[in-house]
Parts: sequence; C-alpha cells; structure tokens
Amino acid sequence: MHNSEVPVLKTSRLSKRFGKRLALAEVDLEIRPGRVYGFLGPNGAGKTTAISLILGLLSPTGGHVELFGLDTRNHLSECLRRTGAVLEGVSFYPHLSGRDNLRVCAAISGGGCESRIGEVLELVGLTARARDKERGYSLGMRQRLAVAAALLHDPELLVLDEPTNGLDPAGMRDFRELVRRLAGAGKTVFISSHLLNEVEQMCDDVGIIKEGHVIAEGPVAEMVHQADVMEMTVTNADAALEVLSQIDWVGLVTRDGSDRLSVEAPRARAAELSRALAENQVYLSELRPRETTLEDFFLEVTSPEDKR
Amino acid sequence: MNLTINAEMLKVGKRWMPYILFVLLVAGVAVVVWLFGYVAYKEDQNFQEGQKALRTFAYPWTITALLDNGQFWGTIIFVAIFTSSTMATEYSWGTVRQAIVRGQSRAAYLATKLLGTTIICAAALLGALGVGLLFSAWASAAAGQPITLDVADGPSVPELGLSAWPSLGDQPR
Repeated sequence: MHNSEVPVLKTSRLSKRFGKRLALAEVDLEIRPGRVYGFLGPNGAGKTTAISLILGLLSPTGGHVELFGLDTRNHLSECLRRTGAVLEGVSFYPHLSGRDNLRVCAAISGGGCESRIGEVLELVGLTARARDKERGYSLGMRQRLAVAAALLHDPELLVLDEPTNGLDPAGMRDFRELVRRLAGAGKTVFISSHLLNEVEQMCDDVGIIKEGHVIAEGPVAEMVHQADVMEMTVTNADAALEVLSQIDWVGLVTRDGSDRLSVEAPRARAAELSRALAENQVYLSELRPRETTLEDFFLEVTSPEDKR
Repeated sequence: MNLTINAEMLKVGKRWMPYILFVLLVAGVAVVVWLFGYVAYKEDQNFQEGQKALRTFAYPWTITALLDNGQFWGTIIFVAIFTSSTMATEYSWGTVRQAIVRGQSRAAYLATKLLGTTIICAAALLGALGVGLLFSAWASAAAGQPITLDVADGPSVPELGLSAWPSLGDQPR
C-alpha cells in the first residue's frame, strides 16, 4: 500500500548548469502515488537533464530530489532499486538475445527477479523474439525490451524518457494500454515526451517545461477544457455573419474560409444558433464544438510571447 | 558481486572476440612448441642449436619456455585487447547507464567488471598454457623424448620433494 501523503517523486528547487548555460532552473515537481505524470517540453527544454538528475546520472548544481520520501543525496541506491527507468537512446548488448539482456539486467538489479523475465517479455509482447539477438531488433522492439528491463524488478516508480519513440501506431496503442494498466496496478509513472496526443491520452497530470523552467503544471483534465467556441460550415457565410451579429449572446465570429465560421457562443445554445440561422435561410452542413487539446495548450504556453 | 560477475561471464561468453584471441594465443603457443621447438630440433644438425630447440618443447623445460616466450607476449596482447574492449563497449554502447540507474555505483560496477575480466583472462591464459603442455607432450613423444618432469642428469621430482622435506623440519620456529 502507498502512503498517499508522501510524494513518490519530489524535486525541490532542482537546478543544473552546464558551464554558462542554465539547463534547469529551480524546478519543483511533485508526483503522487499511482499517478501517470507527463513531462512535456520542446526539444532542449531540459526534460532529459531533469530525468538524469532524478536518476543520479548527473549531479545537480542546486536543489535536490526525493524519491519515496528519501533524499537521493543520501539514499540513491535504495531509491533506484525501487525505480525502473527507460532512458532515451536505449542501450543493450547487441550480441545477446533479448532474454539474455534481461538476465544481465536481473543480475545487475541484485538478483531475485530472473523468474519474472518470462512475465515481462509476455507483457511487452516480445516472447516470440526473446531468443533473437538484440542487434536484429527494430527500434520499437528495443523500446519494448527497455520497458521489460525497467519492469523486471517490479518497481514502484517508472521513469520513461521518450518511451514511444520509434513505435508504430499499434505499438503506441499497446504502450498506452500498458502504462494505464501499470497505473491501475498502483505504479507511479513519470513520462517525458513531446508527443502531446500520447500524453493527453495516457497521463493524469502534466508538467510543461520550457528553457529549464516549469511554466505550467496540473491535471490534464484542467488543461484540456472545452472552450465555448463552435465551428460551423454554412451555405451562405455573408448572410450568416449578418444574422450572428444581431444575436447578443454571440461573441467574436471569425471567418476561416469561404463558408467556414468560428463562433464564440455557449455550447448549450447550439440548437438556438442553428434555428436562428435556419429562420434566415442560412443552413448548416456542419456544426461542432471546438475542443482545446493539450497540443493547443502546449503551443499557447510554449510559443514566444510575440507569437501568441 | 557474484551475480554481476556471472552477468559478465554471460556477456563475454557470447562474444566472438575472446574466442578469437584465445585461438591466437594457442596459435602462439603452437608456434613456440612446434616451429621453434620440434621442427627446429628435427632440422638442426648443430648439436648446441638442437639442444636449445629441444629445451623449447620437451619437458620440463617447455614450461618455462612457454611462460617466457609465447605466453608472455600473448598475455600482454590478450589482456590489453580484451580489457580495453570490454570496458570501452560499456561506454560506447551506453550499457553502463543500465547499471547506474539500477542503483550500482559506477566505480563498484566497473571494479566488478574488471574482476570478471581478470578471471576470464586468467582462465584463458591457463587454458592456453594447458594446450601448450599437451602440444609439448605430443612433440616430445614424436621426438622420442621422455615425457617427464625430471631434469635429465639431475634429481627427479620425487627426489627434489624428499630433499626439500627435511629442510622444512629445520625451519626456525
């Protein structure tokens, strides 16, 4: 059982400087047990640096990391034994089979998990190719092998750096399902990615990083809210503009093409809108609410000020 | 540590390089025993040169001959290539990160790896020496020389043991 009061992963004012370049600036993150946390950011934003600091591959310039309530400066080995990681540019021994690579990982993990090799291979769908040499694997198979290696010692926290890179659409779907299954089993998952659609479908919470600073953080549901904007295709755009300008609860109307309009209006009044247009001999061939995706939100907060 | 060494054996055991190096090591031993020893002994009409060649492949001199010549140079090449390769590939493949993110310290992991490499090198060298001794027995038999550890015209191995025995009792306590 998890103690839900203790964050599985917490960073406090975590900073990293490479020479004069500040890669990470006083980042505070907090991830609760059983949550899937998406860590988003443009290329070079500091995602991999943050992950390297969390896993002890780099030493921070300032701040510290706590895993399972333990300060990694004093308990790194203990913390990492409870953590599974898939790093960007996954590395395995090319001359060994997938199964033998997992045997090596099991040995490095301190043993006791060799009996789980078959189970994790099955989980990632590599059982049939387990005896093939790793050098013959596709990128997607390597990613899956990395996930299997990360799951081998049954960790409480999974840290995944760009885990869906190289996966085909079916592989991505399988991976999404796997992550949700793991979260359902009580695992906490920290995923860094720039695939916004994937993160939107997989994650409970999201943190967005830009130029080393966390600029937004919160539940995905709050970021992907439904905007009161409707998009419509009409038979006569000029007439529609005339009608809409006379309705007091309709806000800004934008013409997107010859017959397409974006209308700021309450979603609940879509039927009234349709009737008002029809009464003026303007007919709709399409009417749908505009949904704000995580991509919209991400682009809004990460694009330069002058482009917003 | 045992598990990590076992993992090292698994990794090394499935590479071609150690086997190729071992074959080269055995080839070096074969050159010493057969070419510099047996063939030279058979072809050399000069007594002194013949005796020199005999001492390269016949017991018990072949043991020192193997350790002094082929084994020595073979050892350096074998250890240098093997160690640098196993260490370098951990970094070039990036696999050392697999160990670090599993809670192993870099120093401890590399030290264990070095220990595993040392064990493998020692096993390879002893193996090559063993093959060399078998070659020597074969060459000695082919040359009609006795297969014995006794030095010609000197004390036998049992005599050496017996002569050493009383001296042990004379050691000051």
